[in-house]
Amino acid sequence: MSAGEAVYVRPRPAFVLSDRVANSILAAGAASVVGLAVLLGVVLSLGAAPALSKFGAGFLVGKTWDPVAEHFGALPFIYGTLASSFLALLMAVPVGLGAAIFLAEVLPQWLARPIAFMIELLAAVPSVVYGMWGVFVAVPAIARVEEFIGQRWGHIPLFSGPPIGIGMLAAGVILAIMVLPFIASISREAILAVPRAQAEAALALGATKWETIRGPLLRYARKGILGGIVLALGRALGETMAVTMVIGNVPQISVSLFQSGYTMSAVLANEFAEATGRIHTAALVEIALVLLVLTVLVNAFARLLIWGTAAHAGEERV
Amino acid sequence: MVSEAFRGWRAGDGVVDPAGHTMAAEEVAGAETDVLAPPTDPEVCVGFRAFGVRYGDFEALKEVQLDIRRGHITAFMGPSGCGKSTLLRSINRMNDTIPSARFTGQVYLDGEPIYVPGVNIIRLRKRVGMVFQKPNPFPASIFENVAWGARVHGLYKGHALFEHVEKCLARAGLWDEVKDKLKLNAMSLSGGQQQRLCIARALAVEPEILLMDEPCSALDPIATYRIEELMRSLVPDYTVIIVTHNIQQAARVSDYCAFFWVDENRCGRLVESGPTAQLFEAPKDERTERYLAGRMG
Repeated sequence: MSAGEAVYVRPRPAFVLSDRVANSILAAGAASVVGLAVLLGVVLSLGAAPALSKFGAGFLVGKTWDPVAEHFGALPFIYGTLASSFLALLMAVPVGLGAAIFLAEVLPQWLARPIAFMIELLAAVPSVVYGMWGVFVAVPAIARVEEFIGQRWGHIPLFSGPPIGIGMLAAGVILAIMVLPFIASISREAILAVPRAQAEAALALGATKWETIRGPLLRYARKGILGGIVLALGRALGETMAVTMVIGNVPQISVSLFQSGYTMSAVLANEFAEATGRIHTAALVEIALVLLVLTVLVNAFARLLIWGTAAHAGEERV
Repeated sequence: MVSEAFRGWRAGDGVVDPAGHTMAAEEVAGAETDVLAPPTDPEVCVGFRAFGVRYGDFEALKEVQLDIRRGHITAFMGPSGCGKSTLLRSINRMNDTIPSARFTGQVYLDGEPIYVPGVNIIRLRKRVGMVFQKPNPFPASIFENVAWGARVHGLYKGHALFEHVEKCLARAGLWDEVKDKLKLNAMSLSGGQQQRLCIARALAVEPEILLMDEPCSALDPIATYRIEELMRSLVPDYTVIIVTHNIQQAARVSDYCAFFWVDENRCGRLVESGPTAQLFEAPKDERTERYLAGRMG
């Protein structure tokens, strides 16, 4: 290197006391959030330790839940949580997305705005109210539907079982209604946020309104729509009260929609206060831990999915 | 708001009955039937007849009488707010998407009126392609951007579609730059490449006319030069109509020019039109002369 080689230095930042103080306060706030999350994981792990050491990985695949014999397997609850949430999304996504498209693209906005507001209000209804409505209104109605289907297609395993209304189908329906506002209102906003130029480009090519919505509009908005679905899934996985009231609370795994089930959050709500044995309590805490991990995994997966589509779309470059 | 784009599809019935149209008597010169008569010259591709546009109470443009020649580049020039974009967007009825837009007079495309009830807007927009001010590719792959329109109209399938996309990209002067990365997202292209992609996308539905609404205003001079070169290569296969603020651009690329001005009511008016060389060398109107000389506007 020649003697004339330039030397680059980083300028020392100026010391500003007020900035330092503000930074410290903000850092403390951020750290406490992370700290709480870590603490939650640690406390749950410690509480679950006896069950963890006794059952090991068998806890996750065990199908028996017998507090008397102190034999605990969490699979029926994991299955119940996943199945009811999946069922809920299966019903809520098409309806919510349809409502969002209708509100964003078909209805005039002076009419769509108040309706969207009312949909958002649905998200504020306490879940126990949904549960009561489920018990008194939805379950009897579902029982009639189940009877109708059972008489005709009862031989199909999916529709076998007693048509009593209580069960996996009722849980899915109640959850679907509860998560619908998230999907509808977030999707509507995502569709409204698509630049007008996108729709114009499609229309100018001679596309119909429906082709324009189905093509560029939904493609552009898919990130936001996916976000709404993930939020809905998070709510469905953790929902306790309403599901507990309608799912039947029987720890079994059945392909039939008409059979009762049990979810992780429901078993916690039902049994925690009455858990006597050390192992019983530890098993319940481990279920809480599994639920936490599952929710974190689902959210992380959804994050990756959203980042993936964003990177694929190259939207950060805009 | 995107939703605005879908509100009004009623422009067809918003057409004012020709008989109800009002015009100053001296301009009509006692030939009321002639003002709305369709163009008879087969070389005329688009004919505006006593055409006017209102947005609610605001009169954006009125009394436009103009013929656009087939296979040439026509430039709409004038200051902001003179209605040149409104006029351009009237040709493919993109103004229909504005709920308050109302129309009077008539626009003829190949001798057929387009502001009449029952016109097939989908077919109209397939015939009249459009390129916008800011490049607006879909957030999809380069291939998909070009293929989408052709697919929507069911023009090509399978390998033929691929060949068609290649042809359109080549026609837009983009093929050599993107042939190895057709699956890449269109958003990752540069602004100039995106605009050429948008041109390829418009060509893919096999239009006869290409409308360009200030296609270079978001581009640097080199990208602008390439788009202008491309425009020259599109005639005489296509009829190109370009809106531009840029006087030099109009002089460089256009064969014919139409000059617009804003009247005292902020309403756009056509001042004069003619072959570009003639308009630039010997403008008939004083306002044209002063605008072209850069002394106002």
